[in-house]
Order: sequence, then structure tokens, then C-alpha cells
Amino acid sequence: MGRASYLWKRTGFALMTVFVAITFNFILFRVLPGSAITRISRVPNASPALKKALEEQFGLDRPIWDQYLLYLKGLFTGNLGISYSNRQPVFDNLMEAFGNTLPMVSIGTILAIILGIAVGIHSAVRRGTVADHVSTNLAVLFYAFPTQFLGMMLLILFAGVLPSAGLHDPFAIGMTPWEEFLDRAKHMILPVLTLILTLYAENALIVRSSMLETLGEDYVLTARAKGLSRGKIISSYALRNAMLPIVTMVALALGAIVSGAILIEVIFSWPGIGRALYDAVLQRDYPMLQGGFLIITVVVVVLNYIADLIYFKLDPRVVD
Amino acid sequence: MSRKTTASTDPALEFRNLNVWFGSREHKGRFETHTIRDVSFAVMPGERIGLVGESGCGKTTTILAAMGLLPASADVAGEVLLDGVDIISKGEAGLNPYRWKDIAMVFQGAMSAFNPVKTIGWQISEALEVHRITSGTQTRQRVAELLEMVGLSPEVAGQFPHQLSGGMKQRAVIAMALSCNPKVLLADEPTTALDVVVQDQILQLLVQLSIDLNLTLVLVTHDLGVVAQSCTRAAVMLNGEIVEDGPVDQLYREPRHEYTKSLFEATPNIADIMARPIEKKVPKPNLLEVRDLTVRYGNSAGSLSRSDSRPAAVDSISFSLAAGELVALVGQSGCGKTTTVQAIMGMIDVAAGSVLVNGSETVGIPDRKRRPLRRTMQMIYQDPYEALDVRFTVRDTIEEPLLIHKVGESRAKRQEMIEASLEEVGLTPASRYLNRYPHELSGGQRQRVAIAASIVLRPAILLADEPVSMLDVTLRSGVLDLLDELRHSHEMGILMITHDLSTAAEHADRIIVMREGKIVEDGAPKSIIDSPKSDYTKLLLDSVPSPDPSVKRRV
Repeated sequence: MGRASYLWKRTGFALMTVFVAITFNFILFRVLPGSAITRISRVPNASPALKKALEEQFGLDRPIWDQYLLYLKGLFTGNLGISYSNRQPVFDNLMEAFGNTLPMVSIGTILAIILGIAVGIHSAVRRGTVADHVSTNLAVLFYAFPTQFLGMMLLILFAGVLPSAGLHDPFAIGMTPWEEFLDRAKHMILPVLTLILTLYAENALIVRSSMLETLGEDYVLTARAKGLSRGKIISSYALRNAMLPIVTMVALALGAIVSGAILIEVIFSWPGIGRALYDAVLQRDYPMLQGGFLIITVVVVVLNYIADLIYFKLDPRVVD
Repeated sequence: MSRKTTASTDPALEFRNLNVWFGSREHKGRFETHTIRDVSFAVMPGERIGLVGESGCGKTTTILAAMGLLPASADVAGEVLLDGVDIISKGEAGLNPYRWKDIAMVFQGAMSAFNPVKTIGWQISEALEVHRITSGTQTRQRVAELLEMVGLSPEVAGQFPHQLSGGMKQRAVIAMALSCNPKVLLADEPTTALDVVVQDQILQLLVQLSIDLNLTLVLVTHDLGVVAQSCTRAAVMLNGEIVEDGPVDQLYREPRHEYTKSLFEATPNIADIMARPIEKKVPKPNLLEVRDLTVRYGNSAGSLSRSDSRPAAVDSISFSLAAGELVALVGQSGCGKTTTVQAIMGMIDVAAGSVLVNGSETVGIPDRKRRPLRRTMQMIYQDPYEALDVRFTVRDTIEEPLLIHKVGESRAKRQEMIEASLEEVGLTPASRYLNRYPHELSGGQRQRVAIAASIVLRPAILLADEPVSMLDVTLRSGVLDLLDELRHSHEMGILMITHDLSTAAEHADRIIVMREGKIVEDGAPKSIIDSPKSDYTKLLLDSVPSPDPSVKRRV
């Protein structure tokens, strides 16, 4: 009973958040200074007739509620408008960019989480040793580095050894699928490395402090008295309970990953969602921006929803 | 030494010249404290020994050393013999096979002894399967058996720790400790966090199990009553040494060591109280009158019609408190005693009834008018470690109420008042304490500072919520005597909450027994103890462990 209602509540909350974000997105681009027409028309001295035609074309002459409904209807049919810069549907642009971002960011994030957890556990169980001091200080150092600085340093260090820009080699022709895969993988190394280094440190520090806390709990002492092996105590007692705050923190950090991806994609000329948004800002491509924000919001909300579900699975106490 | 007295068999557990040092690398070089000094004692199979002492005396360290559970900063020397074999000489690896199978432990924090994310059954099964005692369906049967043995239903196996009450959890912990049929059970303050009634049940269970299973029990506690009622022998520890060791009767009747004597003197005993003559009191005017007070659970933000269906935490109780009177509000946790005090202070909403302070109604008055009232009514909290702001010096803590109520026009005047109240609570000379921070004070001193901050405004009424339950026995009497003195010298009315009937009986003029939000009995200590009218008071009285072992033996 309690478990079902928890799930419903979380689902409802996630849907509500998405809806609010959609609405905000609509309002945001209508309260920006200047009328929509003077912004979209690249014709500085457009005649009143042209302005009127444009307004009609985009439905801007209708009441705000109609516009809102039109916007919602568009969203549900996957119609996010047309990009100003390349005259392609925004939805298609975004999907392509997203497809490029996803492998890089997800590999980087997953590796960063694994590395962070490993380093965190390692220094927690060896608390106070040289190994702990080294890895903790190193983590603090990487945590403090701005993404763009770290990215450029790696670029300087490895330029020439590893490909430094783009998804793949634009001049390679007639590669076998295997060669193409290798080429793409090589291009991915630097951006993924930057992402790992900027993300792992935070995870490592959280895992360390969270592990230290659970290692001091009475149930860990009881587990030791029970004669359990060290590995078992760490996995099913300390880490299992330390996971709870870790899941929350990782979920909260996911929003930052997207912004981190923007910097990384710009540095390594990665044609992903981050760079698409960066370009859209430079070119005042409002429909692209609007669509991009929306997708990022939805992704973050969905990831947090997944974190909630994981939490639900991990902690029997959330329901009561 | 003790081997000679009971020696027909070999001891099940023996400590020989155990020494523990704690190192700290915070200082330059290695700084060590000698925590345990040459502790030696032996326990026969089936014997129950109590290890008694105040906090910091090393009793927990002693038994943790036997389990090899001390932190890495501890250096251990000496022997711990289990059936004649030294188990601690070969370090962690040498000790692990003995853990739980031969020597098991019940820890102090019953509330957190279980992994919160696994079921009770899972955790008991784990112990069984790690030591290859049982496997598969056999394990499930054994878990059910164990749970029944400690008086729990087998369904508890499927529950998570947070779904059990404190007493049930402690029973489950004991079931887990006994899962591998250990010969020795070490119990570290197994009942400290529990209510007196539940404590009594758990102690009875431990005694019964030790008899049925011929289990050797080492019970670590600060409570002499607990030892007297459940152990055959006791060892008294002071500053890391055993100062006295012997049968509980002997310790109670003819303590050889000064410290043992002072411990017994500080432990309230209901039997002594009954022997005391009653002093006649002149009736004084009532400072506080509570009439049909009702407080309900949940917040009252909901609609009025719904609010009536909420369960009552305090259910129309009435009592009064006169000047110079000390009234004790006694009951188990959850009986509504703290809620009552909060309602009197106006910190929570009152559903019905009235609270008269000096004859004027305080229920439902606006906050603005309540402010001056707070001057006449002050509070003392349970935990002196949390009641004081760690960033405030003693002076700041005591000066704060003066500043809030704009008492004392000049700095010098306030300084005078602060010093006077410090002297009153026995912190003399006051100048030595003024600039100290809470971490530079002992627990007893902290509670005195908290009391000084409460009395500096010269309140007419003092509300004390378990003022001594966090303190060691020898400090308790000091704080309670201080409260006693305050009501005589300043005619203060004191309402003291306590779960401990014996403390209440020793110090209060009147005892009010509460249960489930209702007052079940109200009267002078002597009449309540001599002739309790309600069954509940009888149960409470019965559960209080007497430091006199002959009063009630459960063997």
C-alpha cells in the first residue's frame, strides 16, 4: 500500500515537474524584451505588411492561450519548430546532436561513477594512510579544476597523439566498419577523459565521507563481531548503506553533467547537444534554444525519477 | 582469585593482565593513554558477571578487546582465554573463527545494531551461513526457532529493523547473538536505551537464556540495579582498573572499596525512601494549574472538524504545582509527559483545557503576551551536550536570557547576576568558568551551566525534562540536590519529568504517574510506593531494578 503510493507520488511529481518546465519554457521566450517579430525577422526595416504576414505564419496574432495550446500540441507531435540557422526541424537537429552526445557523456559518466566509488571506498577503508591522503588530495585538486581548463590542458598535452576535434576523421574514406569504430573511439578518448576527471573527484569525495560514516555505525561493528569477512562487511554493510546518499548526490549532479558537456563539446568540437546550444546562443536561434532547454529539463527530471526508483529499491525505510 | 571460590571446572572466559593503550598522533610524537590497566577476571560456564562503572572507566573497552574490535589506534597486551585458549594473540585472523561461534556480543545501541536495509531474517541467516551452522531450509527453521526463543513471532524474520519497537529489536539482536550457540555472550549496556518496563523484560530474558543454555554472560552496565537483579557476580571498574570483584550480595552489603560504596549510595533505592520520615508541609499558593489539558497528535493546520478525530497525546489531565514544591511526572516513553511540558510552555498547540500560571490563563494568548511569561517559567533539558550552544562561552549562555528579557541595565549588573547564578549552581569560583566553552566542561558541569541559564531570570517555575538521565550516577545526586536546594531557597516550583520512579521517589514531594496521555495516579511518594492503586504503577514499581540483590531474585 505504502510502496504503491510512494511510486505514484514520485511519478506524479516527475510529470508535474516536466509540465511546469514546459510552461516556463513557453513563458520565458515570450517575456524576453522585443517583440517576437523584430527578433525573428532578420529584416531590419520590415514593412508592416511583412510583419503581419510573419505574425500570422507563426500564429503570434492569436490570443496567448491559443498560442500555449498550439505549443503544447506541437510538443506532443514532436514539432518543436524550425531552426533559424539551418531551416531544419528543431526536433531533428536536436535528435542528431543528442545521438552524438549520449555515447560520450554516458560512457564518461559511468566510468566516472565507477572510478569515484572505487577510489572513495579505497581511501575510506584505508583512512589516514598515505594512500588515502594522496587520493583524497588528488580528488580535491581535480574537483577544483574548471572543466574548460582541464580540457585545454589535456588538449595541449595530447594534441598530435590523439585526435583533438570532432566525432571522426572527416578525410578518411573507404574505411571498414572496424576501422571506423576505432577512429570514433579514438576521437572519444580526450572528451571522455576530461569528463571522467572532472566528475570522478566529486563522487570519490562523497563516497569516502559517506563510507566513513557508515563504517562507524554500530551495525558494522556487529558485522565484524559476527565474524564476517572484510569484503562482505564493506559490500553488504558499509557500501550498501553508503549508497543511499551517493544515489541522491549523483542524481543531483546529473544536471551539472549537461552543462559540463557544453564546455567539453565546445573545446573538442563535438557536434553534440551542448555545442548545438552554444551555437544557438551565438546565432540567436531561439527555437533551437527552446527545444534544447526542454530536452535537457526532461532528461534531468527523468534521471532524477530513476534515482528515486533506485532509492526506493535500496532503502526499505523510504515508504514509512 | 575468583577461580578458587567456584573452582570445580575451568573458566569459560578469562582475562589475564589485559592492558590497553590508546595512541593519538595529534600531538607531536606518540601520545598514549593507558586506558585499561592489568584487568584480570574469570567467568565460569553459566555464570553471569556484571562489569560496572561510570562512563569512561574502560568497561566497554575491556569487552571490545576480547572481541578484537578496538580501533587500530589501540595497543592491546595480555591474554583473553576462551576455554583455556588465548584468542587475541594471533590478531584479527586468529580471532575471526571464534567470533559469534564461541563468543558473541550484544551492543549498546540496540537501535542501530541491525543493518537498516536488510531484513531481520536475512541478518540472522547470514550469521548461520557464514559459520556453516545451517543452510537452505534448515536456516529458515533455525531463524524461526531463535525468534521464538526470545519471544518474537517468526514473522519478524521478514521485517526490516525500523519496523520493530526498541524492545523487539533488542530481542532480535539477542536472537542473532545466540544463533551460533556461543558459550559466552558479552552484553554492552543492553538495556540502557530502553524503558524501565522493557528493560526488565529483556533482563529476565537474558537471565533465563543464560540458565537454559548454560551461557556465560558478561553484562556491562552503569546501573547497579541491573547488575544486582541479573548477575551473580560483579566487578567494579574505576579508571581502567578493577577495584573490587565479588558476589553481588557481598558488594551490596559489605563493599570493601570506597568507590563501590559511593556508587551504591548514589543509586536511589526505593526501599530506603520508604523508611524515611515524611516531613509536614505548609500548603503554599499554586504557581501552576493545569486543567483538563488535551493535546492531539499531528498539526492543527487541518480543518477543525477533522482535528477532533486525531488521537490524543495528552488526554484531559489536571494537576497543580505549588511554590517550593517538586512534582515528578513519571511514565514510559510515549506516555505524553514531554508533550505535557511542551504544552505548558506554549510550544505546541493545545486542543482543549487550560494552563493557569499564577492564576492567569495562558492557553490561546498571543505570542506577544507570552513573552513576559517565559520569564516566570524556564526549562532544563535532558541532554546537556546538546542544550548548550558550542560557540557560546558560559558567560554568553547565561547572559542571553538577560538580554532577551532586558534584565540588568548595565554590563556590570548583568555580570553580577551571571556570577551569582553560577555560584548558586555550585560552579565556584564563577570567574573560572565564565570564559569556558561547553567542550571544556564535564557533563555534570554542563548541566549545571544549563540550570544556571534557566535560573538567572529568577523564574517561579522550573520545568526539567529528564535532567539527569544522561549523567553518571555519581553526578546525578549532585544535580538533583541542587534542584532540591533551589526550590527551598527560592520557593521555586519544579516540575520534573523522569522515567525513573526511584529518582522521583527520592526527590519529589508528589509523583504523578502518566500512561497513554492520562494520569493514572497522583500522590505522595510514600503512598504511591507503599500502596499503589493502579496496576500500571505496580508494574512500573516492579520493573525498577533494586540495587539490593535480595529484594527480588529472578533465579
